[in-house]
Amino acid sequence: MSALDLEALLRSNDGPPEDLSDRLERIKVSAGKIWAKQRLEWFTDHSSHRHSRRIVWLLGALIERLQEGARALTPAELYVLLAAAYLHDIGMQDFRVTGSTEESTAREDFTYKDYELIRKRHPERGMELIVRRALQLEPGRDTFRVDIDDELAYLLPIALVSRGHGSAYFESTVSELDGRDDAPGNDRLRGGLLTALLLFADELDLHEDRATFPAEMGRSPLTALHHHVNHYVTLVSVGDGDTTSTRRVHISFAFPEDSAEYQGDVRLYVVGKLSSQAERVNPVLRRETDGLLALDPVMRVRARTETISDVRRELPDAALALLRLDLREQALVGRADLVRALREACGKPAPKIVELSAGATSDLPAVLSWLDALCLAKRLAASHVDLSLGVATETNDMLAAVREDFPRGDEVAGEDADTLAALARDRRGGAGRVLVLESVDRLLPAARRWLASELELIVADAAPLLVVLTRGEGSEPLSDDADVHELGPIPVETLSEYLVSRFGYAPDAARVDAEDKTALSSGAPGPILQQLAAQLNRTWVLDE
Amino acid sequence: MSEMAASSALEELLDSLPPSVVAVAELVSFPQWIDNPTAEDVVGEFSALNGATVGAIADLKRLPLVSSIGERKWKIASPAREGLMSRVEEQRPELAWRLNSYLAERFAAEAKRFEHRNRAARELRWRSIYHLMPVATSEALSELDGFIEQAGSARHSDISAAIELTKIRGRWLVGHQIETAFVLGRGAYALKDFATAEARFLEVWESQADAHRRSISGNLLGVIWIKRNEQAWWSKAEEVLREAAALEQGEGNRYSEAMILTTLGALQAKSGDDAQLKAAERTLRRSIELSEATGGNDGRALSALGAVLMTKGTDGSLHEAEQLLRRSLTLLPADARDTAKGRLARVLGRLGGPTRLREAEELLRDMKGDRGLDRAMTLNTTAATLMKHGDPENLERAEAAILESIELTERLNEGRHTAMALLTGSFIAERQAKLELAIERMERLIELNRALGLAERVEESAKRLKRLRRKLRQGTRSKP
Repeated sequence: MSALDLEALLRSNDGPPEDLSDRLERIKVSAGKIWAKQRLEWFTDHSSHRHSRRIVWLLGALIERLQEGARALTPAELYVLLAAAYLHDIGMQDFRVTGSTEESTAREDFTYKDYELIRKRHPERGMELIVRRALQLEPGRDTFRVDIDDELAYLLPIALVSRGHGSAYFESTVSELDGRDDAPGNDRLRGGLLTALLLFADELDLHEDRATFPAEMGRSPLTALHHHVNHYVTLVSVGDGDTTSTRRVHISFAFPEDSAEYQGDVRLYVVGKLSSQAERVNPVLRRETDGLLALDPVMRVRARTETISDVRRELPDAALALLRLDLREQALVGRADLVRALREACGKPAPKIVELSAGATSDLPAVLSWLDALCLAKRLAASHVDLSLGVATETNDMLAAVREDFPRGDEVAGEDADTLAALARDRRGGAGRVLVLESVDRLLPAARRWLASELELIVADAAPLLVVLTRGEGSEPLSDDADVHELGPIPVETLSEYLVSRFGYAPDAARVDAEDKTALSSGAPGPILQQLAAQLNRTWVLDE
Repeated sequence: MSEMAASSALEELLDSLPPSVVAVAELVSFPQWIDNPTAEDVVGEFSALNGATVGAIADLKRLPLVSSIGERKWKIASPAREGLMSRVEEQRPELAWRLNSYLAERFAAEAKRFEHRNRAARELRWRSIYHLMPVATSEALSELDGFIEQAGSARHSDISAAIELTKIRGRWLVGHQIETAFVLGRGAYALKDFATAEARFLEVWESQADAHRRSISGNLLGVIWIKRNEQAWWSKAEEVLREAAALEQGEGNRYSEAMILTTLGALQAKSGDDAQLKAAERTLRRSIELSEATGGNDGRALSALGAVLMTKGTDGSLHEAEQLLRRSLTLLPADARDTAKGRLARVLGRLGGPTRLREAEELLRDMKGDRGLDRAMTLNTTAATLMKHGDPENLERAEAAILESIELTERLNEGRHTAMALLTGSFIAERQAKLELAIERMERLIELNRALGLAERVEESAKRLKRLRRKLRQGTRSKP
């Protein structure tokens, strides 16, 4: 697919005294030096000569039709946008991680957590570098000198638009730019529009070229996931939508053989994020272009399995587990406290019992699926016994089921008191275990009494263990030692916040939609989650 | 939360999905839960009928209506599951029928891979019956009856789940009320809910159902009525047991006839008078004969006949009782031997001799019965055996045992057993030369037997009371 060549466009509309294209060339050279070697190997390729160039190409495709009309970007806007496209990630190349002593950690000693910190904060650091180095407010190595004029009418919008590409900074940056009235040559610059375009183009730059598969991948499932997701994307393009003002995203995936089990997870991960960001930037795009530019909320997806063997890498188990955990956590609405409590309990050296009370239309299925995904991602030995049929639920049946699930469970003999506690104890001193007993309210009284007394023994034991019991709404609690969580209705406020964060809604629109969804389902979490899943499904169409 | 709202959200979700994913959802909604290999097999088997694809399984599993069960299993959660099943049953009944049929067969075959008491085997068997219900209802109800029988009286969860299955699948049981009542009766009986069992069995007994179900219902009705310990109920029990035995005889089912005759014989023996004892002996001998003819041995019948012969009390009958009871002990399951052990101990006690008495004592010590009535009976037998030794120390031990037995039976309101204990207690007191106590016990015994309507026993006891009073008078006169 073709795209408008924005750098050529800038050149064609440029000349003294501004010489914006010359300025851009100098910025490109600076960026090229800064990115001569990517310093943080764990990340996918963020270099200016590949990542930034593709962003520029994608920006050209995004605004191709806009440039034909009255609300086209001006040369000044084009310059700011392109400059920011080349500089937006430089914060990744000069990032200090300081501990309590204020001494910087050497890059070689960066941990996975340091990388995540950099990933989150590099937009802010990038802005600092652009401004402070240009104005020589901060000393630094020559390599990191950004050859950019100190003309504030351009410098500050470039810095702010760069920062705004980070999701966490987007709204505040747009708001700040809206209030600034930057106007180089006294022509008002639409900073919010430029930020929205850069954020979306940056999100769109998923490509197999960016996957470098560094050795550090083995230490970080998240890093492995990012590289593999990019590895599976062969093409991202932007074309005409249903109307002249809408742009539609096309994504093509190529997966390895035997990947049917996770192809959909990867698609959902990519499309879900893109559609959310599209929803997020659309109000800004529409507002700043008088409705002449918006992103089609429905993306076109093509997926194929690579016909040539072994050229596509399999998604590692740990990365897949993390991907699924992420997707399942994203699907939960208003369960942050529960998620936090269960996550914390998994890492603690003491046993914890949690009872989930859930009605027939609760979100218990989603919670349990998340919990199982958590066990897989954290590699916790887990046993999940579903007692909902009521059949074969005598005490020795429960023990047999747990025995089958836990490693070396068959070595724990007996059906006496404390056998369950013994089974649940990880004798290898591992990270702890998780025992899920679903529908304990289906147990007959004798089995309930037995389980309650076993749980008392478990609490008395010091083994790291999380026990999660589920029971029907309104049924009697089983254990006095349990933390009880009711999986009750989702409040409109909570759903509204979710729509903002997950689907990129503007707050007002989120409130209206949350009220509609709640009215349709009487607030019951299960049906609400189904509506949300339907909404997500409608954000993409699979092209055969 | 109305069902309509849940159903509308489900419809919205299904509308947003590719048809192949909806098709998979419909197929896998039938089993309560599934694993990937089974899901792939099901899709492979039915894809031509509804357009499901194996590739769509993974897409389905990502939806919030799917709940994972650990790493391997997953399920479509309620109420979405019921909604999806209903769609298929209403719109594609042929597919629903074939799917249920396939799953019933598959789970039954899988269950056979395990030993039948194994947790997985029982679960699979239940699930197989669940799917068989709409396909072959009568067969499914017979299977369910067998499932309850196999659960015995120990696995209450299985029995409760079997009873619940008739509710879950109630819509398929229309036109099968009697077979269902039979299953429910069997379940309630195993759970010792005798009121429900009686109501259900009466339904079957009074119907025109097949002879076998009627006769089993009759037999169990008899047992329930016997437990009431009242002559009027015993008469009803005898009547129903006779009819039930006749039904099985008519069907040529000798094994079942024998089982019923054993119950009948035991009842006749309980009734106590000579005529009934003779009838009991005849009935039980017939039962044993029938059992042996079918190549089996009924330990229960041997034990009951042993008890009848013991009551007869002749030397010959006691020796035969000893042999029968010894045989019964080899046939009865370990947890059902206490009654036979007690009987054998009593027979040995009556036959006498140091070796037999020692063996009797060992048998009594070995008895596990510690539940109310069992214990009371054991204590009675122990007391009778100790009394046979005749020395003061054993007589004191006998007195202590019989006192506890009397107290226990009174507390349990088991009049007949109190009467038996009082009789033993009277003999012990007489041996201890405590004639007033012996007389008092006989007076209480007579009163009890009169209340129980056992005229013949009242007469016998009155003779003994008269003898004791005379002995007391003579003793008093001879004192200085």
